[in-house]
Amino acid sequence: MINLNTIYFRSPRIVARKTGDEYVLVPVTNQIADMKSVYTLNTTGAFIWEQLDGMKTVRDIISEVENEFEVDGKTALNDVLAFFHDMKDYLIIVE
Amino acid sequence: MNHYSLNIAGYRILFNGLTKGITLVPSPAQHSFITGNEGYDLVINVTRSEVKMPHGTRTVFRAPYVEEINGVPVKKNNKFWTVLKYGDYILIQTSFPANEDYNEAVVFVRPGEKSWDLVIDTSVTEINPFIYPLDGLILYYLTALNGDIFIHGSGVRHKNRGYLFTGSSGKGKSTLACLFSEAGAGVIHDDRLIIRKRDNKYIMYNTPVYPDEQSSSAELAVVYLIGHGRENVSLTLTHTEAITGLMSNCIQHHWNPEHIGTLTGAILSLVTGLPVRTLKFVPDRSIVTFIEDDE
Repeated sequence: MINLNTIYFRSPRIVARKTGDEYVLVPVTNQIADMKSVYTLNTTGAFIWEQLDGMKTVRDIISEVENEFEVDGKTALNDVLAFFHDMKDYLIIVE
Repeated sequence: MNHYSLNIAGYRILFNGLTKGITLVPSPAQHSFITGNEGYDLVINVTRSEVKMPHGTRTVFRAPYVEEINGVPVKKNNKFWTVLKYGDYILIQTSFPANEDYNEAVVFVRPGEKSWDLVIDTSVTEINPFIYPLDGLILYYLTALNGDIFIHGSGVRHKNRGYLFTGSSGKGKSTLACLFSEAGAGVIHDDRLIIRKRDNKYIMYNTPVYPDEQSSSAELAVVYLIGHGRENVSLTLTHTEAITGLMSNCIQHHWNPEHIGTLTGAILSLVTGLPVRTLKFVPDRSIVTFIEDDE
């Protein structure tokens, strides 16, 4: 469950490389078995990633997505919640 | 001899025996890489001794011993080689499951310095200091620290164009190398390559693997991420797709964020400078003509 008032941070165990409007995310690992996991963020995901500045809440980021992509509140809410669910599961972001 | 030097991917590496009574003996796979005694990029001082790790080391990465049986990786042992940190030094400790004469070894890697140490615990006096898995581990840290790419792939030079076919085990690296060889191409290597950016060109190099293999290199023109298919098809990838695909095929120890950043930067530079495509192929000679026309 994502609390809209929570502030999330980029995990220090992720190395991000920007390419155009997208990102490649590579987890830091200590075992060879984990080394095939490389994640990518599309334009929307990349924008949300860049909003994770340690100050903005999830609610703030929804508002930023609404403005940036000129979408309605419901679309922005769904996009942002989907991002946080996935990223939390893969430990790419932390509270 | 107490010392010899290799030129691998343009790196001149001197192995220097420090213990009295030992002889450093390169394997046949290293013979064509042996070079003269002029300036070195790296000196590895070799001592024959029991391995004693300094107090205060911290394990950062572990690799199990995996053997491929009928194309399927099977874990044989949980402990193979381990990477440890000791201050600014990187220590690589390894056993030698495939060789009873060698018990254990540790490489003291000093980032930013041209002198590393190798301590080998062995019953023999004629020592190959670049024996598996030391060869791959030393080359990995040498290339990772210098911003190169060490990748699973086969490379060929065909009609003055260099092609890299990269993929994991079973994707067809050796098959493509063989098909191009039959069509008259020079095979740089069929399994692993070092790629270095030199004078704004990307050069692929082989490393010592097979007995009596010749040292060779070629400028890269196109990179293919390969897989078997029902017909020959290639598609251009976005930079993000290309980076993701290439990262998965790189030899990499992802415990160090700085090394990951360096590698992703090197790959971004490569995908920006060269075409990177997926290739599904039929394993017959039609693929050679297809590649010739695929530009």
